[in-house]
Amino acid sequence: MKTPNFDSRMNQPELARIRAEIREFLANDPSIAKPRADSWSHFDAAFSGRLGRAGYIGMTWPKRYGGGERSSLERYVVIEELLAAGAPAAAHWIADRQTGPQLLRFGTEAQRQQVLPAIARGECFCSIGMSEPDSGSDLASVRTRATRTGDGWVINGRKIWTSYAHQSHYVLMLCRTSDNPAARQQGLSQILVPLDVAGLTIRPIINMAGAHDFNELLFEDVQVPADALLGSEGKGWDQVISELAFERSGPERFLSSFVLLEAFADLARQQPSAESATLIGSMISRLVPLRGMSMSIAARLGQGESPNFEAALVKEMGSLFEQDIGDRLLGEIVPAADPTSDDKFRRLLAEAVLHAPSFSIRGGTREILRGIIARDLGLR
Amino acid sequence: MSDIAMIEDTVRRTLADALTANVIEAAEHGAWAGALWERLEAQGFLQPAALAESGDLAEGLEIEAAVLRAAAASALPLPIAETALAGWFLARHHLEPPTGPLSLASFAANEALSIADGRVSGRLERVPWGRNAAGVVAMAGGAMLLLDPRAAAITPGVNLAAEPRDTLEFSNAQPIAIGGAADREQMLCRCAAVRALQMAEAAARALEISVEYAGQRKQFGKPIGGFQAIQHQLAAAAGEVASARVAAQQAYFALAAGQNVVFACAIAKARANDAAGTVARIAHQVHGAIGFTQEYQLHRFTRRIQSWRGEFGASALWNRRLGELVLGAPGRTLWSIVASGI
Ligand SMILES: Cc1cc2nc3c(=O)[nH]c(=O)nc-3n(C[C@H](O)[C@H](O)[C@H](O)COP(=O)(O)OP(=O)(O)OC[C@H]3O[C@@H](n4cnc5c(N)ncnc54)[C@H](O)[C@@H]3O)c2cc1C
Repeated sequence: MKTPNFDSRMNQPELARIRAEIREFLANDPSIAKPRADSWSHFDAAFSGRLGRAGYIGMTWPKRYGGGERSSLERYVVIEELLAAGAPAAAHWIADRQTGPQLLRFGTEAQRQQVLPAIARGECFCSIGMSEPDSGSDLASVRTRATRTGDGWVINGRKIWTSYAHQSHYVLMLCRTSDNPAARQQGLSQILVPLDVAGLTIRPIINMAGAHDFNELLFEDVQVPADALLGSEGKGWDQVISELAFERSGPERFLSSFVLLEAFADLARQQPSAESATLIGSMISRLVPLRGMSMSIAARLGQGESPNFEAALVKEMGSLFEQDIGDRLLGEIVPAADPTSDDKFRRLLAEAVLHAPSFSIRGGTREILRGIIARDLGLR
Repeated sequence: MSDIAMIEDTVRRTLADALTANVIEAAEHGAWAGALWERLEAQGFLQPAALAESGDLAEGLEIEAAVLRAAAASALPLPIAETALAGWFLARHHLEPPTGPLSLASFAANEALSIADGRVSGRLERVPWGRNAAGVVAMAGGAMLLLDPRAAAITPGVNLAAEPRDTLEFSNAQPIAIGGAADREQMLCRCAAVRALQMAEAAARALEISVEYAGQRKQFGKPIGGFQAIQHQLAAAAGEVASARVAAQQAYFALAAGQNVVFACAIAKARANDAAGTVARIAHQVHGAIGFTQEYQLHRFTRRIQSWRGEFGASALWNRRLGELVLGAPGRTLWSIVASGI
C-alpha cells in the first residue's frame, strides 16, 4: 500500500508579499464588485486581460515566453486569491493551468513562441478537447480522428462539453491517429487546433444554471498544418495523463463555493448563533487541511514531480467539501436561494447549488478518482 | 534515515517485538504492562520534553510526534501520550516530573477543583490510567498542579478500548507540587493535538489492515478488493486518513511556532474526530464478520479511535469554538484567516 506524501506548513511567510500584491490588484479591479460562486466558470476576457498585463498569468513560465519565472507556490497564492474573491477567472484559467504548461513541456520552440506570450498577456484563451459524445470517463475510447495528409492533418469527429470553445482561440484535442484495438491508449495524439478554422462547427449547450459555458464541436474535414501536432505522434495518452496532476490538485477543486461561505460568515457576524458558528467551524476544519494538502502538491509540481495519487485525494475530498457548503446552508439554515436576487447571499447560494453537481464530474468523476486512489492503495 | 525517522523506527521495532498477544490480552483485562513500560522507559523516549535538552521546542515536538505515531500504529496499551503531555506541562512550569507513568485531567470547562490553604478538593473524571499514574497534572484556581492519585478515592472505569479511565475524588489532598498560572484552553489545545495525532495514525493503521485484508480475502472467485464498491469505500477512507494526518501535522507546526495554536489544534481534533467515525465504519464493513471478532486485531484500532473522539473535545465543542474564533476576529475575513491563520 502506497502512503500519500504531504508536507504542509500552514504559513509561508515568504509568500506574504505576493499575497498582498494580488489582493491590492483585486481590491482595485471593477470585476469584484460582483463576486461569483464557481468563479472559474465565469468568463470575462477583459478581466483576464487586466490580470495578464499585471503579470498574473503564466507566472511560473520562463521570461522569454512572457512568463514571470515565479515559484509554483507564488502562482498558487494568486489563483487561490482569485477564487476566494470570486473573480471571473474562466477566460484564461485553462490556458494558464494546463494548455500553457503542456506547450512548455511538449511543444516545439515555434509553438511556444506562437502561443505562450499571448496567453501570458491574457489575450489568448484555450479549451480542452478531450470528451466526446461516446467517450466520457472512458477517455481512451475517443474516436475523433486525425489523418495525416501530405502537408498536415485532416480531422473528423465530435467533441463535447468543450468549455468556452465559443470564446477561446485554441482547443487542445485528443485525437486518434492510428488504430491498435489491443492497446487503445496507443495511437492517440494531441493536436492544437485554432477555433476559427474552416470546417469546425461550434454548437452551444446551455447548462442547468442557464449559462452557455460548454459546447459541442463538429469537425468536418478540418485541415491543420503538420506543426499543429503537440509532442509526439502516438504519445497523446501519456501526455494527457501528465496534465492531470495540474488539473486535479489545485484550489479550484475545493474553493468553488468559498465566496458563499464568506457571505454566510458576514451574516453570522450580524446575527451570532451557536448553530452558525458550529457550521462555519465544521467547514473550516475540513478546508484548512485540504488547502495544506493542495499546497504541498503545488510545491512538488514545481519540482517537476507528478503526484497523481495525492492530486486524486485532493479532488475527491475537495469536491465533497465544496458541494457540502451549499448543501448544508440550503438544508439547515437559510431562506430561499435566488439566482436573480440583489441580495448577495441568496444569489451566491443559488450559484453554488446550481453549479454543485458539476464539481464531482468535471476533471474526472468521483468514481474515476476513487478508482485512481484504489489503484495506488494497491487494490487494482 | 533522519534522527526523527530513526526514533520512530526504533519504537516500532520495540513494539513489534514486545507487544505480544499475552501482553495485549492482559492489558485488555486491566493489567499494567509494567515490563513493556520499563523497556520503553529504558530507551529514553517517554519524556520528549526532557529529551529536547537543548530547549529546542520544535525538536521536542518532533520527537514526541514520532514516538506517538509509532505507539498509535501499534495500539500500545500504555499512557505514553499522557506521560509525554504531563511531562511537557511540568517542564514548562519548571517542576520535576515523578518517575513512572503520568496522567492528566480532561481540562474540560466544567471540571473544577478547588484549592484552599494549599489543599485540593474536587473530582477529576475519566483520568487515563489514574490508578497507575505516579502523578496527575490538573488545574485549580487558575494554577497548574501535580496531584498524587494515591491521595484520591479512585473509582475505576474504562473506555471502549479497555484503557483505564478512572474517576479521582480529592478531598483536602496535599498536591505533590503547585506550578504557576496556566491557561486552561492552551492546555486543552496541547492535549487535543496529541489525541488528534494518535487518532490519525491509528486510523491509518485501520485503513492499512483493511486494504491488506481486501487484497487477500476472496469471494466470488476473486479478492474482494477487486470489487469496485470495496475499492471506493477504501478510497474514501484514504481521503479521511490523509486529511486527518495533515491536520495533525499542521497542529504540531503551530505548536512549534507558537502561532495559530487554538486554530490549528481545534481543526486537528475536529478533523480527526470526524475522520475516525468514517474510517472505523468502512474498515469494519470491508472485513465482514471477522472484523467483529475479538481474535482479529482491527478492533484494537477502531475501538481506540472511537473512544478518543470524545476526549479533549468532541467535534461539537471544537467546531463551535473554531467558528466563534474566526467570526469573532475584528476586521478579519474568513479567507484571510484560512490563508494566514489567527
Ligand atoms: C462543467 C463541465 C465542464 C466540462 N468541460 C470540459 C471540457 O472543457 N473539455 C472536455 O473535454 N470535457 C469537459 N467536461 C466533460 C467531463 O470531463 C466529463 O463529463 C467527465 O469526464 C465524465 O464523462 P461523462 O459526462 O461522459 O460521464 P460518464 O463517463 O458517462 O459517467 C456517468 C456516470 O458513470 C460513472 N462511471 C463511468 N465509468 C465508470 C466506471 N468505470 N466505474 C464506475 N462508474 C463509472 C461516472 O462516474 C458517472 O457517475 C466538462 C464537464 C462538466 C460537467
